Amino acid sequence: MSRGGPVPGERAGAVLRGPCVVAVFAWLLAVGAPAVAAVDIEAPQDPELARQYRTLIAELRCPKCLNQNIAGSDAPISADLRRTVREQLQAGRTPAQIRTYLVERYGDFILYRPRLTAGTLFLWFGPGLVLLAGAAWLVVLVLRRRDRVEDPDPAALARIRARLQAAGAPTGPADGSAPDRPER
Amino acid sequence: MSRLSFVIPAAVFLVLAGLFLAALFLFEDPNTLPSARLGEPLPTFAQPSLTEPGRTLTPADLRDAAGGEPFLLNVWATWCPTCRAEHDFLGELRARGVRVHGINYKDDRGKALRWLEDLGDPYGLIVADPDGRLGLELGVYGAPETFVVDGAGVIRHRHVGDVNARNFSATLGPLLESLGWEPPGAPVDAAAAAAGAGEVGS
Repeated sequence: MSRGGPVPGERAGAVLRGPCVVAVFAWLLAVGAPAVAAVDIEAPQDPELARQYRTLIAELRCPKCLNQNIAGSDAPISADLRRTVREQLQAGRTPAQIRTYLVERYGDFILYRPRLTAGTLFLWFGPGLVLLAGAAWLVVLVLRRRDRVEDPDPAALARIRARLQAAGAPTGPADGSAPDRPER
Repeated sequence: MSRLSFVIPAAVFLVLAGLFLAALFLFEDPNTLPSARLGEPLPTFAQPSLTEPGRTLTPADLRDAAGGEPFLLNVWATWCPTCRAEHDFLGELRARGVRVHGINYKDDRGKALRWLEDLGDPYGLIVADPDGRLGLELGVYGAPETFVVDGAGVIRHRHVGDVNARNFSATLGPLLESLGWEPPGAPVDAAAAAAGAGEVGS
């Protein structure tokens, strides 16, 4: 804790810190950028096809990785599938045709949005139905509770009365029914 | 009444939870996908043979080479360590009279040929698939995978992972037998296998 000027080197360190931070971030960006660029290199040249390509590879599941789309997956099978998507788009096939092509070979599982068939009805609508049913039940429950007046427990009622009498307050009808509202 | 309003949602929850638990434990490993090509004939292809330069192989060639009997179509590559592990067992299967054809998947031809030289060649025919196009047609997503194809060239089963003694005796062997393969053994066994094949039906 010496007072006085900066320790030799300390000032130099302070001056260098800013540029160093900038340099590190610049390096990180430079290193990270090619990863994004790689996927774009694989996209078709034509802007419309490129747009369709990007949409398709985002919604196709990598069969090997289970939880990644082929856009974000490194697996060799994903690279093959991306290439197939690009080639077929360039050959003039529509995204729908390409999806069908892949489902024929890999099954419904390859689509992140499974097709609506008898088999997938429950998958699509099941959760929503269960949620609705739960919400409806909740509403019914709340309404019922609100409408119903519960009879008080007689022992508790007697205890409350005793305390009220001791305090000199009005105790209401003896049969435990709801007291009349005080007149204003 | 208030008890009922507790019991019913709890019961629904338990039923759903039970369903999900059952799906988790009783169904197949989600890492192995069922083949979308089951019940379909081998897709049309014409690819070069790995071992016979200049020869192009088609599904008909695989069928004919198997003599109208069911065969295994094994997807393998030199970069796949599990394929190395299953290689010897494929040799055993060949000795037992099982026809095994191969697809050399996304591999280098030189390396593949050296591998076969070093380790032996259990295959009948080997289709070279260097860019994975045939694999894509079949719905292959890795190696090793083995398809069971019947005498008519129809895909009956897709096995993911190595073929070994355990899963062969449990699944693949019985399936092959039901499709007409006769395992080597005493005449009694052959008769039983034939009777079994007759029962299972073709």
